[in-house]
Amino acid sequence: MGEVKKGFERKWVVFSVIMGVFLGFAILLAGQEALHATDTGEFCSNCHVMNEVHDSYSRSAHASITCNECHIPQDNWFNKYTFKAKAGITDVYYNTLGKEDIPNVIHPNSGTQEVVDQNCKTCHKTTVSSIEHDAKEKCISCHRGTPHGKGSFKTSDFYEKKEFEVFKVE
Amino acid sequence: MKVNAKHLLFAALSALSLSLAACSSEEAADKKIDTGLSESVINNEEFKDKFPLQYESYMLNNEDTQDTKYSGSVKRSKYDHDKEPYLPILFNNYGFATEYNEDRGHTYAVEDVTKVARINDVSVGSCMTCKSTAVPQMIKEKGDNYWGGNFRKDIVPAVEKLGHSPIGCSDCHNPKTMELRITRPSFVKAMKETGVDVSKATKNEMRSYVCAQCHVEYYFKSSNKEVTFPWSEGFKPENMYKYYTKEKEAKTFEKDWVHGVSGAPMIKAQHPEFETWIEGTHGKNGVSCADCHMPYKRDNGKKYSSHQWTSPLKSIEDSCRTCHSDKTAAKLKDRVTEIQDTHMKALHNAEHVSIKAHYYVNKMITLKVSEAKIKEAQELVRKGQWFWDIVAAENSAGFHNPQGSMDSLRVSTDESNKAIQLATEELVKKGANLEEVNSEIEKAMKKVYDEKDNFKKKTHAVNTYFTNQAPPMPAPVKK
Repeated sequence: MGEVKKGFERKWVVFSVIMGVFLGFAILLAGQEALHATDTGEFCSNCHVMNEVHDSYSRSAHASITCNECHIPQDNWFNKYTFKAKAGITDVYYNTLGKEDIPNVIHPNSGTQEVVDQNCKTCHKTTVSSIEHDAKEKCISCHRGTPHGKGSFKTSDFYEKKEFEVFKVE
Repeated sequence: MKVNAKHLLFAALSALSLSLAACSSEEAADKKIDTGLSESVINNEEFKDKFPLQYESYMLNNEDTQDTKYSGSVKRSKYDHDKEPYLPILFNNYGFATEYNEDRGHTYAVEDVTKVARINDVSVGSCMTCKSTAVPQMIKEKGDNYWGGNFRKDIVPAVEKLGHSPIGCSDCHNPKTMELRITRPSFVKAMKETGVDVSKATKNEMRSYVCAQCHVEYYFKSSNKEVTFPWSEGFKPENMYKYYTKEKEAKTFEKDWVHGVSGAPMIKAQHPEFETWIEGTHGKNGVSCADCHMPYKRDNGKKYSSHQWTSPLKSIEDSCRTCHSDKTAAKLKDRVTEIQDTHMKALHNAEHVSIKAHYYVNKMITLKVSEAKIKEAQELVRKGQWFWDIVAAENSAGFHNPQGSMDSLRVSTDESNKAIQLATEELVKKGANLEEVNSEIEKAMKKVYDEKDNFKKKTHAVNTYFTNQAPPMPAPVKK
């Protein structure tokens, strides 16, 4: 009797281990996918407050990289995900319980400004280190159009010619 | 930390909104509206329940106590010492010398136009054009009988019968679809003369066009008193002056009035915000009227356009720092003040020179200088006044186009000084005592300035030394 039991248990152990490893991989992959997907413009632009910045970004020279490649720290894993988590939770709060607290005009806070500035310098390390760049405090002090600028601050639907109702004159 | 209901709610909401965000892809901006209202609605209150946020902000136009350094929405007389105290001289023999107030909110439009002393028993229907939501219907139904009809006898009763509102929703929006629309034909016609078909426009353009239906220079065409904009030569002061010169030479429109001090045929300029803006920095860069004067606001997460039309200095954060976010509100306000201070100083100076020009021409007439020289001087006076009035009548105190406004004032001072120079040559030939003339001018100005009754100020502009040069007004033509 004892021998049958032992064999039964071992099969389950092996099965559980294999399943566990398999599930572990799946969760890891899904997690990675989710982490990446929540970096992209496609995800961020689901909220209307992001319309103008998404529009200008997708028409910019930086359209091929994700939002978070600029907007969250890229130096190490820990900084990256604590910043991302904090920002994400803040956004969720403001769009649910804190709707009354959203200001009329949203500006990047100093944390974001620092992160973005650092990311410019990291990607463009070669340029920044070989050409003098000490005239101003922030990269965007001069490079104002990057990548949400180009001066319009409006989505492209503002500039499409349409038919409008007009008082008829001869 | 004990986990309570609020934490669980927050966690659940987080999960829900995350999944919704990841899954949804709808664009709310594309949704079409159908209010269920008839397209002929003209009463503002019909929109109250359907668009409470916009309506509430529109009702804020009733606020008329918060003043700004210049212009503003407080109904004070323009003759006040801190504004333009010598207007009773400069508009002498015209309604604007009797009563001329700073405009206030759109909600007061009908009340203020019916009560102002410039409206009298011979005023025409055109005067109602930019005040009432019933006007588009009136124009369609009455045509020329609207423009030339009697304001007090025909038009006021008619608009009241239609259940009108002061300038409001239906003037800019189709009541059914809420799409922006143009309801004033004068704007359509005038833009056509500049080569623009306004029926094909962008949303960005419409956000200025709806305002440009009224915030423009205009005159009443002689033939049928139709509201007409002088734009066929362009939008700049010199373009519009060229238009009026052509009209004068063709004898189709000579003047708005004859000046009491100089006898000159004068044009009155009116609120050319659109023309000024379009030639200025913001206009040239596609910043529409609504961008600054109807800033987006949020109420509990809902985005809407504020319909309180007033100085953007009252909403610097929402009006200016959307784009100029690199500056603080205080710095932006300082910059605006700097522009406006410089502008108003130049305006007052141009007005002073213009006053002197009027009085010098008056002296030419009383000392019987030749007709030809008088006419020449009067043309310079007319031109000099046009170039400062087209700036003074505008409500941004220079902000909509600082350089363009200064240029206009430069031309004004130039032309008025030419008149003074011409007059001086002739007066010297006649042996006039110029010191006496100048001191009499100062005396008259002081009397106007010191007079406490606004309605009486104009009476001090002409006196025994500077006699009235305007022919008696002809009896009103009975229709």
